[in-house]
Amino acid sequence: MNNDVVLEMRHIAMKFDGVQVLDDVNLTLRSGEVQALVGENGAGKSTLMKILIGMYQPTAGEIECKGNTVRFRNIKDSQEHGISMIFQEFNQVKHLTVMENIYLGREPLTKAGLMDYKAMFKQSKQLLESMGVEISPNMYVRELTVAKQQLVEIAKALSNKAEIIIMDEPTSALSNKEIEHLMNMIGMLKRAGKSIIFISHKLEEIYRICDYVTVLRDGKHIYSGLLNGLDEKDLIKMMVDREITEMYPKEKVNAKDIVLEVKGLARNHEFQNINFEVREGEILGLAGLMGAGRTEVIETIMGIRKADSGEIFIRGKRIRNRLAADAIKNGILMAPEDRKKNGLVLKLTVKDNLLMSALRKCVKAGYIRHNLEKQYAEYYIKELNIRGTLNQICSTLSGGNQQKIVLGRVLNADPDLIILDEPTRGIDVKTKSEIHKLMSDLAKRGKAILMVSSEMGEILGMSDRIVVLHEGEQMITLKREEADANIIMQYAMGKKEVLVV
Amino acid sequence: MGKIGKWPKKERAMRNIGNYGIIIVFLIIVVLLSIAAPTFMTYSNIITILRQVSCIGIATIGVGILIIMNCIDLSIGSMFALSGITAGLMVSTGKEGLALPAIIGIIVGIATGVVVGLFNGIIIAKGKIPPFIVTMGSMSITRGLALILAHGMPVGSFPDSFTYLGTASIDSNNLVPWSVLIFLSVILLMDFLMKRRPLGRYIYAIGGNEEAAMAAGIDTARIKIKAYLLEGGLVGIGATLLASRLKSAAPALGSGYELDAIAGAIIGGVSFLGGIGNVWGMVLGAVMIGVINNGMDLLGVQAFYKQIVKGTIIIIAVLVDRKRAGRA
Repeated sequence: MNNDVVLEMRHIAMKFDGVQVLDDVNLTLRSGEVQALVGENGAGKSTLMKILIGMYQPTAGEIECKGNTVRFRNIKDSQEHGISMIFQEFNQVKHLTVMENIYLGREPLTKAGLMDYKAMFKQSKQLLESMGVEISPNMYVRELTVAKQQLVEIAKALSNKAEIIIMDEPTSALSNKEIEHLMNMIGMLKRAGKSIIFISHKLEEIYRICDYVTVLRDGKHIYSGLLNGLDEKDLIKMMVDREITEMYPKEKVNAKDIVLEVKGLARNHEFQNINFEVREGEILGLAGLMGAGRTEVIETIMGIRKADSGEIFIRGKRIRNRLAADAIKNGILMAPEDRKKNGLVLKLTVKDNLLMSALRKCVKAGYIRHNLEKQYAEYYIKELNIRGTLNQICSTLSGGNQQKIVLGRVLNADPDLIILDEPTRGIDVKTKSEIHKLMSDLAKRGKAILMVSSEMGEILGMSDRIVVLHEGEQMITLKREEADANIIMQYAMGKKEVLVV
Repeated sequence: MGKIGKWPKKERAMRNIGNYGIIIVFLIIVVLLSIAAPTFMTYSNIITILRQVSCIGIATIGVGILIIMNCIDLSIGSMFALSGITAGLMVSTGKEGLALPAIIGIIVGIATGVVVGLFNGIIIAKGKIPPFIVTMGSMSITRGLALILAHGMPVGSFPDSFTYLGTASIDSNNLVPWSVLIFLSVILLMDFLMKRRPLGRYIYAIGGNEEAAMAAGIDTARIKIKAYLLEGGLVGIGATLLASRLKSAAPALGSGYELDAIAGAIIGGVSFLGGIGNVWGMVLGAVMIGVINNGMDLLGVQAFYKQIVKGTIIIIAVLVDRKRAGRA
């Protein structure tokens, strides 16, 4: 490894809607270096990389690329400076061939101004061969495996003369053998003097392939240094070490009858052999990093996805949910992760959304009674302190208020089991503590709550017990008093034997 | 509370254009026509327009509901033919006809619409095929069935008992035709259904965000089937009424009606992106097309120009719709 600095990001800061996502972050990359970028979900890794490739403009800070200060206004700018990012979902046109994808947007032309397929074929073939990859440039991308699609993306980056390649969790969808191949490929790129930023949640890979590491936590730069000699547990400690303030008020409730029991639940390529139960008055936290399969598990319980094997019981009775509508009949309701995508109908009013899951309550003698609607909707607006009016269109409300409406909708249907997927993501601190208080109250009233959260503080503060997933595998179930951020993180990153610090 | 619940000024203005722009355009057309054609603003002419509009207007409400649900039906025109012919064959005293009582004809006509709607709905909801494609297929199938049943010839020789509803009025002075009264009843019923029955709410929810509706526990497949069934029934009513008014039903009946119905709904403020629209708006859209047709007849405008005017108004209506979508 030589020590020529190819990239320096200095004092990068980023604000989204007034929320500080990155604060004074530095990153230095040298040629021929593989640098790991690590941190919990939401630590700011992706934001930092999107700033680097010009997708976002930082609120402060500067980027120096090969000695010149640069400002990237878009992805094309950064590509011209030799920076390419391999996204988790590759940006490929599946119905075009490999070579057409490699040269998309900069196709070689003949003198007559037509597409020069011959040159395109020759050059892509050369490129792919030089990478030691057996893919014909003529194949359609849709015919390739995920691993091969990824290689095409790398080929595209190289054909773009990329010097810096960013890989965002490149191994998450690969088999062991494919990972091996990718590791070799990274080694080869490194020897060719390319620099790589490697975002990963897997300790084993990081230690195997990376030279250098940068740790982010809550948008702040925590550490940069050689990986060699850095202890695994020290690395994890840097990722999770923070004061956990007592903003989470989950009160202890004596858990009673089992409401939900999941036995041996599995879905191909997503998760295997998941077992847990949730009791009345209990909040069960489902912890794990991005791609661990948490959302997939709860969507399967809801009937949005179909299980390949395993059983689900509600109060001891086996249930089969084909649809979310079935789950509701069985007393399960979910507040989804993405409010805008499937939590709310943004075009409709506050009232419509609040009542949607239990509209029957407002129907008497065959039609909807306005007075009942008003009564229920106003109750939840007051109860949840929603800053909006009955007939306001939901798209005009803030994220926190939208989330409260989703919760109100769930409460109005009065389920036995409430599933909350990232209940407070992207929500201001005050609303967040209101929602936490509400969750605690619900548990006290005997509801069973299953919560997915990427926020360590929320998991630790709100859960009575915590199930940790890693790559679709249930690593352990921890009691509240057994858990701390360090232990959870070690399991979440795939360590089977956890060292207590 | 202050600002909460209030729209910023500019957005509010946009919204109002979305809601009332069409009414303003409509009033302008009405005023211009009353000046240009003295007979336009007479009671009998207005009733004539409403009578002409009633059949297609009922179908407009049907397809408008589907568009609110972010679906579509292209088979409406063919359904007019098939429903008209099945109803006609029941009551006709001609060679092919069964000469059954008028009520049987009416029931069969409406039932035919329901069956086609059900067919469309089940394939769309269960087969998860885009409505555009399914109804394009059923458009052809339905027209073919109409041709076969009628042996390619118009069905006629209807008894007076069958043509009564389409042609007669409840009073002897022809002030309130039955067809207008039926149209009005359908409007009131459907307005109530869309506003006050859970089915109506669910249709808005599916059109606004199908995934969210599903996650909220709405059985979206079931609702879609119900909506198509309802729409089929409405088209059946419109078709039977039309056959009754025309005193015959040809296999070519209603060709192009799907576009008129869709146009009426869109002009009436139904968002082609789904989730937005109401029954009275659709009625206004249908009446507006009727008024334009009638006005141009009164002014002696050549039929060819009508097409251009109608097309222009559709595009303007969608432009207004776009502005609204940009806001949301």
